[in-house]
Amino acid sequence: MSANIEKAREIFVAAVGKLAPEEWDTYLAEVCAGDVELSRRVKRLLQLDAGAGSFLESPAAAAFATVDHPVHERPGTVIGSYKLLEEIGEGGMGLVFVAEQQQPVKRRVALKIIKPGMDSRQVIARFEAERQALAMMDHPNIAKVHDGGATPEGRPYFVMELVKGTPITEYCDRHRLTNRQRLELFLDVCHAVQHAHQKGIIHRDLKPSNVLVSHHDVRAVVKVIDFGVAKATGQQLTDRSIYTGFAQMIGTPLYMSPEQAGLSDLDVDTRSDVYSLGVLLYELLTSTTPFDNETLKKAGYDEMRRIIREDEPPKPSTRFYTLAVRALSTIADNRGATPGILSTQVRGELDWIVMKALEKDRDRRYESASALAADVQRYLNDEAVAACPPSSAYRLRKYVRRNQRALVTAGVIASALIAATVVSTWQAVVARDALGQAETARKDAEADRDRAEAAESRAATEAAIARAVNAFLQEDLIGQMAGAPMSGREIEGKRYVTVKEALDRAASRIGDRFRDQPLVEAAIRASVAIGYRKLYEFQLALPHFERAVALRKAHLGLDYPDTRDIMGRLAEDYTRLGRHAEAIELGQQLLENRRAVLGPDHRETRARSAALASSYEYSGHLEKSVPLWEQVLEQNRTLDGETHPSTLGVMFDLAWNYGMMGRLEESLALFEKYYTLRKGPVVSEDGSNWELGWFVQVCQWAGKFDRADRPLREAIAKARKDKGSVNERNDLANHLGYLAVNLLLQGRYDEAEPLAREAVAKSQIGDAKHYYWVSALGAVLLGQQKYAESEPLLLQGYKGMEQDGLADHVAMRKRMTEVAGRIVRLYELTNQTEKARVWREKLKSAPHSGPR
Amino acid sequence: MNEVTQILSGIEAGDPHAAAQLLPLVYDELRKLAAQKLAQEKPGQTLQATALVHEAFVRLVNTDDAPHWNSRGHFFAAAAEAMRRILIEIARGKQCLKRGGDRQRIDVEDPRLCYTSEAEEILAIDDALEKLATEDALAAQLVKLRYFGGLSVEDAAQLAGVPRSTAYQHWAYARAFLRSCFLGEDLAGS
Repeated sequence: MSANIEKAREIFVAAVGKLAPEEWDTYLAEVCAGDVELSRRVKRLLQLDAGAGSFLESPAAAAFATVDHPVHERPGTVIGSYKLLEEIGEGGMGLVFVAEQQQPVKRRVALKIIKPGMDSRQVIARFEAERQALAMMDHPNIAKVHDGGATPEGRPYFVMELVKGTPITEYCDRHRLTNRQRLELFLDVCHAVQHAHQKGIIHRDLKPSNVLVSHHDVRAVVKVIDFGVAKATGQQLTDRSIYTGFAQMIGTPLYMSPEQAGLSDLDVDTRSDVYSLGVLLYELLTSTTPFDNETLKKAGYDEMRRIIREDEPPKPSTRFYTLAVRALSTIADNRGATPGILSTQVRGELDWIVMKALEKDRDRRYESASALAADVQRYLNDEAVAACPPSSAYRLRKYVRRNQRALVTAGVIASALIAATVVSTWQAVVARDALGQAETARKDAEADRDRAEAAESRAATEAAIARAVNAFLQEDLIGQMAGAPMSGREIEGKRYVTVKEALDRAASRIGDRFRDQPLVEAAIRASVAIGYRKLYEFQLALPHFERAVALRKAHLGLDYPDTRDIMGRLAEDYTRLGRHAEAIELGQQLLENRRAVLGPDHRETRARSAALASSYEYSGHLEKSVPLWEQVLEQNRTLDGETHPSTLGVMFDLAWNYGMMGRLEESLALFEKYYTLRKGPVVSEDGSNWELGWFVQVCQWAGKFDRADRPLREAIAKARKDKGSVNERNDLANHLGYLAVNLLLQGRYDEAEPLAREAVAKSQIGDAKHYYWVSALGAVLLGQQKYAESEPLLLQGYKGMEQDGLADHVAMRKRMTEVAGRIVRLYELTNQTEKARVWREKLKSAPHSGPR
Repeated sequence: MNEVTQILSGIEAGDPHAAAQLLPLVYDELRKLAAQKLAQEKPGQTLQATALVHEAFVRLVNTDDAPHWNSRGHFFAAAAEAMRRILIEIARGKQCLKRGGDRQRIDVEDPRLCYTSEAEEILAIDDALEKLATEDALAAQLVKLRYFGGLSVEDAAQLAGVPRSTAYQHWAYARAFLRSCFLGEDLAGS
């Protein structure tokens, strides 16, 4: 077979570019001499070449070339135990078929499959993750996922309940349901959506055609379909046409929340679904959507997004006034009502409920689908609803806010992102925290009235801080930016500023303007620091973290959770930057404080101990980390139980620390215990088996090469099979490297060599491990007496490890010592006495002795 | 002479160690440049390989000492490989240090993680490239230089030491082959 491939390639290469398509057959008949298979293959190659267009012509990172993807699956195709009957929909990435299941029961199902050509690794991973999430849902009003699998070519598919129903709006009109009946059906929709939200799934594309109603006996049953499909297939909501029940193509911004209409998908959460539910309710009540379909269609892309983000839709009761008389009578007729009472029916409470769900600012919407349902239920029960009409002051505020928003969306996307995410998250957390504390304190009020008052006044202070921070970031900073000259990019006439630029500007403007508001400054500095950190700008984050810590420490003290939180982050960054003494100092302060306030056994005290132990470990002070790990392990064991993740985590850390200290027997015993207690596969949540390296390293130090051999070979086999897992290549490189070292230490150089080479090739340059594998390869070559090849590798490996930020770590030092020893040996063997002497000196002055 | 120029001269002079030293240097520079660019761009922006590689060349190689085309070629070969690794890294996403138990997590969310079709394309091409290399090593080399290194087919041909016409033929084969991979076809007809 491979000879044939080779031949096909030769014929292709000789013919390509020289023949017109109509000459192919004659030529191929000649050169292939009756070999039909060969001729077919070459012809296909020629076709592929002829149709390649600009494919691959632009270097990496340019846009994906458009390629025609022929569809392989068609009615009649059998996939697993499903026979495809009819194609009912097509999205950007997937196809949907009605299929007949043959085994174990005969039934009709909907089968969704990734299109050929769209099946890149990441899409498959996402598709699979989504399928699993969907399979977790179990609700009478949600279409079930029955099954999933992959085609022989490896493209995943999943099989869902086939829902034959009518879009809810159509159903209601056709059956002339009254408003009350409509609201009752709507409650089922809310409950289904709430169920999904509790499982962490956001629908993202709620609209009538995804909410189908069918008759079961005499009851109308709602089924919500297509959960999370928008996300699973990674499509943009705006340019998508999605299938519905049967062959219906709808692409619609009508149900899209303002945050979805924005530029990024980052900001979508469950409240986006609440908004879409609001539109659905609007439509159930009025038979029209808040924004007019025609207007949006005509508006063009940018204008459409602006309308969704900024324009206030009319209340349902007002909306009737904008409709033609004939339309009104149809609407009334469909509800068993008269045109005259339509508006009165929804005026007041239903108006308020709908408008609350449709708030532009999601913080003002119902916080969940069930909260929306509860208010509708209250309306049905004639109870007072939680939604209320906006006051005139509120309307005024809203006007101001809307104009600010327009300012933001006009150009400063990135700053809006900071203002919206960093601050509002912070604000929400602080507000919740403070209110919660006020509430708790109020309960103890009889006993301690002062404390309640203190907490309440703090809640008020915090609200004031939040306002000031917002004012700074939104009005001052962003307002300034809108007018200031910037180096930002200009795209289609609009200026964009990068996050880094916005942060730099924010940082430079803080100055001493908040001299009298230390807590406001602390909050802003913390926001800026966290922003920098997300850009990996640890050095730039540091001064802001330090200042925020100092301010909060001085004005709030360590008892305040935000002070501790930010101190913990600062400690992490110190460690990352190799400033161990400062990391340890912070860790000690935190631990002492928690121990004094909460006692030694509290969860936070134990977590702070573990964090401090970790700082000790990274600084190379095992004599301090080990007793601390031991103590925490004992506590966790007693308080949480032996198999609790916190206990197991610390057990692993302690075992590793024992190993580095040279207490190898204890280390291995504890590792064995860890593996026994920790049932199930030894991989972390992201599929990586990064732990194995530590265990194996200790086995090697203990000379127990046999013990390390089997798990490594198993892990390698698994990683090779796991094409597609995110960690595959990294894991594989590590396992290969450790196995190479394992063989090397046993003098099995010839077996080690190919493994070491592969580890070097597969690991990431710049990673400390990569240099370890480079040195291992050097050591293998040294063992094979290939000195000339060995020398540069050993030197390069040593240098790479020396320059790593984690060079203080004991394991790292041990490795370096090991490599230095080999370099000495190399120079001795090659009679380069002077170089050998220099390296011997280096070895002597090394802080740790050899590995064994 | 600066370090890279020196190494390039070393390669020219036939120093077997020089080549091994080049990749890490080029890689470091490209990674620095890439990080800078990523920080400046608005989120979600992708990198243009060609621009980065050429910028790295200007910054690293002292053109006054004028390494002639061959040594420039070595530079671009190393740069293509480095660029490939960088793009794959970015596409694959973040890398973590050690994690566990209640200890501090020394990792952060990487906002640059891109879920774009570009990332997918890069990973898919890299994958298919391994397969291509077993069938037509020259074709795979050309793709690497052209797609990851941003070289023209002519320059890539010179670098690979083959006539232009040969390069175009194998380039055509690479495109047909990779397209067949993307279309889910099995040309081998197993």
